[in-house]
Amino acid sequence: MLYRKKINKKAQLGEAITWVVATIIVFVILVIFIYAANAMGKLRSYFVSGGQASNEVGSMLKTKTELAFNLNNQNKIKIENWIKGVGG
Amino acid sequence: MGGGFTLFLKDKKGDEKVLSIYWFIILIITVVGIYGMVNAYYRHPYDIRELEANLLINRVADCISYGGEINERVLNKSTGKLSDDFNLNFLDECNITFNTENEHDWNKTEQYYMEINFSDVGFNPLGTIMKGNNVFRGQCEQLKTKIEHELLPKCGHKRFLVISGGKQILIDIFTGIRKTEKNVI
Repeated sequence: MLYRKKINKKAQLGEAITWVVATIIVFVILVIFIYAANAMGKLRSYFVSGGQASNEVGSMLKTKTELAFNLNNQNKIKIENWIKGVGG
Repeated sequence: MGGGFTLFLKDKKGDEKVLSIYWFIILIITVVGIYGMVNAYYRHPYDIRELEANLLINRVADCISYGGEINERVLNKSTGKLSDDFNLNFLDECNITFNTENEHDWNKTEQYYMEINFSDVGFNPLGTIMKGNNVFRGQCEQLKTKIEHELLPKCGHKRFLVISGGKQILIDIFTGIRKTEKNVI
């Protein structure tokens, strides 16, 4: 009888540990996902923040400069280097 | 034997109660977790100031030149330098307004800055147009840590060439936009 009680207690303890471990796993997974969502949110914000627009404005001004060179193409290298000075 | 069976049933009822409380706790943890994920993803505002600064450059460039030639009102025909009239009425001439929403005390300090430098091909200055809050110019050139840098204005800086009466004119446009409260914080 005593032996059976001991076995039951061990079984109960085993079951409790299973649930505790399952809870910890669920919790850890949720924390990982929250961190991942945070990182992805930052990334989303970064991609919207204007890199593309800067390139588009750069290419629009490049077209303007090329049109100007069609009218007068003196000092081409000097002017191109000056424009590159600000990453234009 | 019968007493043992009743005890077994009672135990089972107790187990079910504990289990349902457990499931309820798990449900709450999951709901809080999903709320946390959505909040973490969407709480970062879109910082569109760089985009706005570049759009402002685009607007100014279109106002100053067309098809490679300079807008005839920009330079004074007799001196070849920047026209005072154009400089004074620049915002109206180019249909640009620096008005902002009446929030975060934005109406007290200007949230925009724009500087346009005109020079000839020998880099001799022909004039400068400066509008807005000129503090941004220095702030944009500061080297700061990332967090402090995000709180500083975002700037755009581009250069291009135009022709005025056959002469080459170099144009350097710098724009700065603050509006930190809506784009970063």
